[in-house]
Amino acid sequence: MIDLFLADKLEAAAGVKQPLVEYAATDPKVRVMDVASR
Amino acid sequence: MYKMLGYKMLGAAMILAAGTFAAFAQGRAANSKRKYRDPVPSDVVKDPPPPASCAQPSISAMGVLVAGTAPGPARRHRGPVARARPTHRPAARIRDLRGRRQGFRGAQDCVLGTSLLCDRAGARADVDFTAPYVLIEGTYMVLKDSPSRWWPTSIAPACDRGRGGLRLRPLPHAHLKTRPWCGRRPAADAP
Repeated sequence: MIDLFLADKLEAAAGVKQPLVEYAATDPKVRVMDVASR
Repeated sequence: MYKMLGYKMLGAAMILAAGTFAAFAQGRAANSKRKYRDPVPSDVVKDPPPPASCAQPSISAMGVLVAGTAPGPARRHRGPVARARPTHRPAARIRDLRGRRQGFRGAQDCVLGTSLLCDRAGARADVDFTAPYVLIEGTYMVLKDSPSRWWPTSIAPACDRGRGGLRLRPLPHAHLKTRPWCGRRPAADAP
């Protein structure tokens, strides 16, 4: 799902929070929407 | 005589004090139970199924519910699974299921995986899913410079309606792309 998001330059990737947060911590180009940003 | 009377009064006082203390302690315990608020909806089954043996042909397994779908009545999803091992993993460790092709698509909910797997190589069994009781918190990842600040939950791609190419009503110029395993019944092979 993350590779699809990056390869197709999609607007957002939706998924389970834990792996998304884990990946976002390793890639400075992305961020995860948290509750505070809503 | 007065000495005996004193002892009796002292004993009675001690019994009364012990009773008062016990009643107070019970009251505190009851109050603490009342204050506890379970975050899991009441209609979601919370007790894990009993550990199952790999030799059993049918295994009760955990179901997981994608955030954004409402917990509903108990549903049973059946699907083949290989290499099962009884591990009642909490939702916090759901990342362990990432990338595994063990998803089962239900009528309304997309069951991402099961925590009940068997180590017996090559073993295959039908899995009866209980009502989903592990709620997965979903979120969205965007590029760092994306202006997106909030994503309406109404367009959360619950798998039953997250078909690829589906037009999103709130965002008429957008459409969903989903991973193939999420939109159709996955293969039975386990990693």
